[in-house]
Amino acid sequence: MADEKVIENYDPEVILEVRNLRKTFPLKKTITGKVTQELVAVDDVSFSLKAGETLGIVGESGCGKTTLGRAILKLHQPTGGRIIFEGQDITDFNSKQMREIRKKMQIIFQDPYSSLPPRDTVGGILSEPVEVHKIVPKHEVKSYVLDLMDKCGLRDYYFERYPHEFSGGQRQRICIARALSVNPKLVICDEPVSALDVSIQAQIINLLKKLQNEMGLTYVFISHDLSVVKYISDKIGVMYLGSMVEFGTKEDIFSRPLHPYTQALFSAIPHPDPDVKMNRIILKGDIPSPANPPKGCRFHTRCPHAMDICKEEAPEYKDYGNGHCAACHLL
Amino acid sequence: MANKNYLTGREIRKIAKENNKIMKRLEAYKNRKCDESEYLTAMHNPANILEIEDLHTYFFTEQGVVKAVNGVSLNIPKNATVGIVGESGCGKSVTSMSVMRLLQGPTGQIYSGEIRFNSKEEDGTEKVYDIAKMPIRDIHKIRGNQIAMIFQEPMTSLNPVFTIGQQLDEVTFIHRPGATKEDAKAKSMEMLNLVGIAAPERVYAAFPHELSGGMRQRVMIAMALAADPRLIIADEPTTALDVTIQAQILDLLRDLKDKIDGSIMLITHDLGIIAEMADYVVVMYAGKVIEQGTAKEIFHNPMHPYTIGLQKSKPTLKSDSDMLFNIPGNVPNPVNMPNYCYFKERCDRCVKKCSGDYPGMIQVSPTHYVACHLYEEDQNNG
Repeated sequence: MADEKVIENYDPEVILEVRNLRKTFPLKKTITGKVTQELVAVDDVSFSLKAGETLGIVGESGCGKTTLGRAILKLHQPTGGRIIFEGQDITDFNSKQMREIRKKMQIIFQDPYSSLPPRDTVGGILSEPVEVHKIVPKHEVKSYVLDLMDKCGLRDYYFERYPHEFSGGQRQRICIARALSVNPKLVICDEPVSALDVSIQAQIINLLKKLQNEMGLTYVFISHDLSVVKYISDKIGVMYLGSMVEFGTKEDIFSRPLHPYTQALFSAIPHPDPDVKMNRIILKGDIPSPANPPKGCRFHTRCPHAMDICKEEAPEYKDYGNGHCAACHLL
Repeated sequence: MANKNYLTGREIRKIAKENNKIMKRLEAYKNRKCDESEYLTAMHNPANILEIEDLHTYFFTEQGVVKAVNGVSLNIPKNATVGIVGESGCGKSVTSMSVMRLLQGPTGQIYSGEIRFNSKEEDGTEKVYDIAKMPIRDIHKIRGNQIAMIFQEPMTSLNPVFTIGQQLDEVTFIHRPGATKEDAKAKSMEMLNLVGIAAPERVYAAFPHELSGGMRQRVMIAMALAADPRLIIADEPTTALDVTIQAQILDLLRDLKDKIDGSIMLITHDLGIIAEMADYVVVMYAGKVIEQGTAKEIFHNPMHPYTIGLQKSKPTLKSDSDMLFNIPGNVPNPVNMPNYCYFKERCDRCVKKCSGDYPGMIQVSPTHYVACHLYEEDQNNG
């Protein structure tokens, strides 16, 4: 049984550990089903996360951040590597075993408009997971759900309403309530505020922070917006074309970004002050296609400091002190 | 149980009947034939290229009249970048669509107001048109030619069945009658070079799906510039792009403004982009302008509680607070707007007067205006 597999170097404080995770998607197959070309969406990503912490994952579109989030939940079966959740190696769990684990790990999706069933009321949406997982006895379900709605800032008379009657921010609150209805320990937030307006974004971020304090949640917060990630995270991972190029605590990453891509990413954010003139590093060219990534260091086609070695050899992902890891030949 | 959220069939039929009457009248006005003199007018200030005055753009829907733009006035000076900022549904895109006369009829109509545009004719003289009064058949004199637009979605705004070259050449063929194929291609290549495309020959022959998002947005910009416009309307030009690509495109737009000697109307919801690009800022909320001024005034001395809240609620890389400021509540329902200040329910600095009439525009400095009761006394005293 997978449960009994001995896990080496396991730290009991760590709730989620990902070791050398890899996920590929087949692009072309021969008639016999042999894969001839594949897209490497996530390549050799490792990190660990302690209970109660928030990990922010940033990167541009196509860098594999969403695939990583889904692979952790095993919504995509990983191609390689291990996922260790609460000391259990869940990589090879079957769907029956996963059902138990899913009580403990949940996801909030990006688009609150398409991730709620239109024909079910808010009460129905929130009660279903509670009933399926038998979180509380049947006669207490309604009071449990109303309590949960109150926590997430939803009024009790919303119970009978349908998703289309709500604005984006309210719908995202429903999605958050649904994810929290089974009392999870880990919540993957996949761009939860990207589809919302600025003033509503702030409400949702504050709600997520409040709930984290109250329920002791651990978040994996995926976003392309660095300022939001900085605000909510304890640790940050920067991804580029499927691999993690830099990982560290928020303080380390922001005060001392090591990788040229992280530096460029930070300088690209417009600052809301007309007097601040930023020394902007403007990257040339576009993100290469993940189906055909460049040889050597994947960033060398756009890197302002590219050397000859970058074109040949992929840099090693190393720890530069205090868990601040990066992959670059310059260091 | 009676539900306020739903209308009965009878109510809907009543609304539809009233709407049809108005829509028919406006549609006939739009499609009329008339002499140029009917829509020629004069600028109030000759230093402006575009003046919008008390513009009302309504959508006549089955739920009632949506006043998407409800009395907007703003000016765009020559050679300046004016940023329009606001949340979704505040009417910033509808304002630009009204200027371009691209509203989806018969539902969407300019109900009243003036849009004065200072147009340069081929013989070099200047004429001022009132775009709101122009019949739709004459609009091609201006649209795409003197005013060009860059849309938000470069993925969907290019035609997938024509090459980039064909689509770029078309602009020249339409706006420069008598242009030969060679002229058009020369112009297209010039534009592709101007927007920083490395291999213009290859892109010229390519189909849109062969290009990346950033490249497509560059092509869209090239297309907008092909007819030498005097005003470029950029409607969220970088929202669909990644941050590093966004930095490239903003850099390009800034460069181009100097090269083409025109004005830019930049519509976005990102305060950072506005701070970086705009000389003047207009803040919109629920179809009205609530504050306008120079970029420095708006960012260093915001006055309207909504502008202040918007700036505080955006986490920045430099801020280090524990809790984000947030504006409670939601943007109000655009049907059946109240008479009082639209921001009243979400405002934390309400005074008694806020339940009264909608506040008028108050001038606080030669360029800074705000629509809020809080500042009325200052004006009376000063």
